[in-house]
Amino acid sequence: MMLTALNDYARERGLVDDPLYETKAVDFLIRLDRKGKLLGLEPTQDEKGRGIPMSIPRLPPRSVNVSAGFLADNTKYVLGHDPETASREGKANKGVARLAAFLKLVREALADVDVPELRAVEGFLANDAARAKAIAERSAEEWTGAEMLAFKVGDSTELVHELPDVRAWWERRSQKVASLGKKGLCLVSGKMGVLADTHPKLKNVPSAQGAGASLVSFNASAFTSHGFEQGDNAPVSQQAALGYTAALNDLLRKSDERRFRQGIQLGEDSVLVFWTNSTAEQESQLLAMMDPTEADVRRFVEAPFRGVEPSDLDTRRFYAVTLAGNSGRVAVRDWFQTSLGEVKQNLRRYFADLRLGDSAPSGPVPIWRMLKAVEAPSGRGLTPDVSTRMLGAALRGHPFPRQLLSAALDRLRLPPSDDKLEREQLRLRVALIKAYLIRHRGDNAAPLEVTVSLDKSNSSQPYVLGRLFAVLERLQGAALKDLNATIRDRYFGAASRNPVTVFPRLLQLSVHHASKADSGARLERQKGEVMALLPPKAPFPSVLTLEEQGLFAVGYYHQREAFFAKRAPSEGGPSSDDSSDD
Amino acid sequence: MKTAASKRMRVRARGPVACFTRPEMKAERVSYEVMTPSAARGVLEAILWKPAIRWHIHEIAVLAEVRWTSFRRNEVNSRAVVGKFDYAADEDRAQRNTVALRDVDYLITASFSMVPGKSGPEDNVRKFEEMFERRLEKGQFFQAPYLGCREFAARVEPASADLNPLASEHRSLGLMFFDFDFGEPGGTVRPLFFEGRLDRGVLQVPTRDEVLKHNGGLS
Repeated sequence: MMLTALNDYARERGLVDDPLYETKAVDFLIRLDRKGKLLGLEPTQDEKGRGIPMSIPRLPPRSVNVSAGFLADNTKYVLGHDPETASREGKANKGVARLAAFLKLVREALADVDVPELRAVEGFLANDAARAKAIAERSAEEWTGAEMLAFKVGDSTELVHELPDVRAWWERRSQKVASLGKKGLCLVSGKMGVLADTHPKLKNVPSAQGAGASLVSFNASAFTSHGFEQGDNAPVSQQAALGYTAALNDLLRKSDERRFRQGIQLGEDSVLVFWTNSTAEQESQLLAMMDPTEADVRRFVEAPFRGVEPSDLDTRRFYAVTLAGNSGRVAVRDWFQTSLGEVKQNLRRYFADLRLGDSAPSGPVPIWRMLKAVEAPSGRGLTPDVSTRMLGAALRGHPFPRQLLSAALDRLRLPPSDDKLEREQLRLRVALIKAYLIRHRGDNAAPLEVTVSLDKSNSSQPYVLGRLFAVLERLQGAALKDLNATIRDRYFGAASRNPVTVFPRLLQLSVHHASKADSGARLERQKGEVMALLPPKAPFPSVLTLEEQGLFAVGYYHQREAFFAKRAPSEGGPSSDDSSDD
Repeated sequence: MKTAASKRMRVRARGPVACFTRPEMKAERVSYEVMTPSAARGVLEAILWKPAIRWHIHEIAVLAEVRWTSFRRNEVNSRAVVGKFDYAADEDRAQRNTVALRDVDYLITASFSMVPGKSGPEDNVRKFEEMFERRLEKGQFFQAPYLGCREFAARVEPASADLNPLASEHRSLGLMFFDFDFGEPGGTVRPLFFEGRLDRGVLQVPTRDEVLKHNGGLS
């Protein structure tokens, strides 16, 4: 299903219109005269030093084998020049074999069609001195071996591989080669076709090999069955194999603003790519919601949820797959499909569930920032699949993974490391906790109602305890001003886990604080109000569950934000804040 | 000669995890969304199989919502070799990801037919039907029935009459693995595929002849 959807995508967006040619950045043109004498090396790079994309005969899939392109390829094949092996001794130099393979194709063509330009190229390739001269056109350090080269002969404007006779020959030959392959039913397209032995590779998948990795591969005997080899284990036609890889490579391609044109990095080793059978415009709007760039966030302030409003495209399909590199292979971590409308609705709900506090801007927060806020201080991310499941849950509207809750609570227990980031980090952590709680369904219980900002009528014990803790912290702050370690740094963890061990002592302390603080009387009264919501017989439970600890954190945050919010309008005098609201 | 066929039998198979591995995603496993006919056949054959009978799957009904899970396991690169016991899994390890199904619950409708030439004079359809029912009732099996991979054990029992497919499940399943065409003994094995569709929670399985025709003629 997934490969079929990708193959369809490639066909609809015209990514495989021409299976014999592909668009690649060509760095240099080798200009020859009609006799094959080198006239010069013409750089085609733009101002940023990148080659200009051109249509060239499709390059064969390569790993360690030698397999040449036709009339266009990299330096290692066209000139037989590999700067890496040239400088490193003792490593087998494949230059000769590569050049021979490249030349062989040209000679093969020349045997069938006598094109003077082709003859010029053949003459150049066969001439060691001419090639050496071409290499000498650039200094030795400049060559990387990866430059793409193509040919131009005389003052022709067309590249040699673009000449009509040459094109016709390439098409004839490709057909002949294809017809030699095994035919069978393709399990992607459902049609009979020539089956692919090995599949093209995916580029730019995190923690996969740089040269690319395969999604469909059978590289160990344990992966095969009934004596099948390679592609026969899963019959896929060459066309479909080209289609689905072209689609994925297009989605994974690096773009100007992003690491993946239409993908979201999740943790160290995975990427979620998505596509639709809707429009590219819809896709870019969804991407801007899920993983906004700075520019997206700015746009978002002007027009919130642009593109999420219902439209007549909502019945179109939405597909998402999370890929992770595993050296030479690509693994699917998660895969799902649904309708565009449903994804939009789920995204809207995701943002609503994460909303916390009236004062904070409610723009979309990139998923990586969300996850960064709850990762361990050591910088080691969460286990790889938490991020996958987190985004999966957001898109599907499912509950969030419980590890997020425990990770967020763990971070809250540690003293804040950086005051500047602290407030934002705290908000993100509590927002995640809140979203988790809203979606969490305990044993046959209805999901919790957790509000965006302070809810004075909420008498749930953990929530009230959280509020009380915030009041106590405030009291301490008002009494003692600059402190090295506040009660939050010392007691937050214990207070949220085992309230009974901490609260009685904190309450004793607070009486002392109240007598010292300027606004002591007011805060004392507030403390009394909050305490009144607790059951008088057993105000402090001995243990709180993980979910209750979450609620504690939300209560704490709400109360704390209420203090900030109250002070904000009357910024002028610090002591002018009074109890005007009650 | 017409081969004798049994009545249709209904079997319920469920379990906490299942992975009906797609052939194209076999190295890093991804499951089909619904049990494949060959996996269903495997479940039934685990309860009762004789050379004289051949199972046919007619329907696979989904009783629980399709849910996914994903995990990584350490597996090995080589296949087990009979008679070789000094195998060190530590040296031949492959970490592989699995995208599997969770909490699956299926209602399999199947029948069997007698294989001509393999049954003795004392064999008849009724005998095997009763044998199967008895074994199913008692929970007997030749090998532990499983859901796609041997490690995902299945709980198998006779289906009560009040079981209903999950009517909200509608989806195209794409080309799905049907079974292998083993051909002549010693000949080449060929995988067969069919166009799967979940309609009101039910996957209708085509007959083997229909599938063979779709896959390019009878072998």
